Amino acid sequence: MHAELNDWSERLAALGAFEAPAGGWRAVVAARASREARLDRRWPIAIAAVLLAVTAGIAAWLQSAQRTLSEDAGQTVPAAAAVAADMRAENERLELILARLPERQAMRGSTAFTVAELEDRLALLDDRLSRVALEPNAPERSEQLWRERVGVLHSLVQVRYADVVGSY
Amino acid sequence: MPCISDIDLPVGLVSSARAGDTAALEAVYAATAGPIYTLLRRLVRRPAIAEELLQETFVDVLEHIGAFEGRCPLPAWIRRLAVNRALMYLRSPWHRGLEWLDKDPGGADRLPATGPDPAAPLDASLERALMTLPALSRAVVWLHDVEGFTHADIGFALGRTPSFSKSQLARAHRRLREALRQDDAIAEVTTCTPN
Repeated sequence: MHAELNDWSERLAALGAFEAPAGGWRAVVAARASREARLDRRWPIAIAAVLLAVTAGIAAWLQSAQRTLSEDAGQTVPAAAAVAADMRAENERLELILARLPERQAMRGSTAFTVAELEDRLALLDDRLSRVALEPNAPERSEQLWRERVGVLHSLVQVRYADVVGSY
Repeated sequence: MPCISDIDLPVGLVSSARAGDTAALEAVYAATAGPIYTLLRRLVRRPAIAEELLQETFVDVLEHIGAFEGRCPLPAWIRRLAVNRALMYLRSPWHRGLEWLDKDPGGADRLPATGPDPAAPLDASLERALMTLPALSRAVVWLHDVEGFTHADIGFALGRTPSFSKSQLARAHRRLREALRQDDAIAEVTTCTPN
């Protein structure tokens, strides 16, 4: 086993080397200047992202307070339909926040991996939601899937938001 | 092939570079850019991407050289930055889907799938075999077998466990063996076919 590993190491290490591109240092210096200029431009975006998140938080709190007041007032809304509508509204709200977060061209490997996993789960849930009408217990199943989608979206917003804020 | 860990930079040069001296940093670039570029070319297939990652790596060096504490040799620290950059690229959902990384053995930039030239040196087959590996497997092989990373290091860098790195390595070695065997078989047929 070790002999084989050594064999691979030697053979791979013996492969040819590549020459670094000419003029590389000048390109590095120019890229650094460009990155600094980009960072200067990003401050307003960071502030906008923070404001957006705060606004979204306040809106969520207001919605929740309004709902509590409505329930206290004894308004009768069919329970299942109200929950499903809430879930959809929450989904839309979170999608809106996600859409407004600035797209990052590069992120930490572990963050990118988490984002990709969450996006995969969203795609899977969307697929299930598109077929849920055919299932026998469609209303309950649909509500459950929407609820799961809200949970995944919440996580995605948190990860993306933390990544955006952490990059400044 | 020059090994990054073999690069020995003078202490004075490292000190000047740490202090942000531009000429010293340029000298560090001149001494390390080749091996770092070779490493990046082994981790990502596209030369243009490797060039971009090389550039980004040294921009990181310029920006963070003050944070280099000298606990390891400077070239090894730069290598770590380069590996982080390359892995970030490989795992980025914008550039490569995870599924592609784990399953597609080739990709758009795979090497031409021609048989080996019998007159070509032995490592031409290995080059081709290496390029048939999925990006992630190739990274694990290169980091472990050539750069001397431990499975714990690789697992950490990939946000996975050391066991993941071990299983990737075992699978990659198996694939390399199979690819080399197929290459040999093609070479034999080519040699035996009458003109």
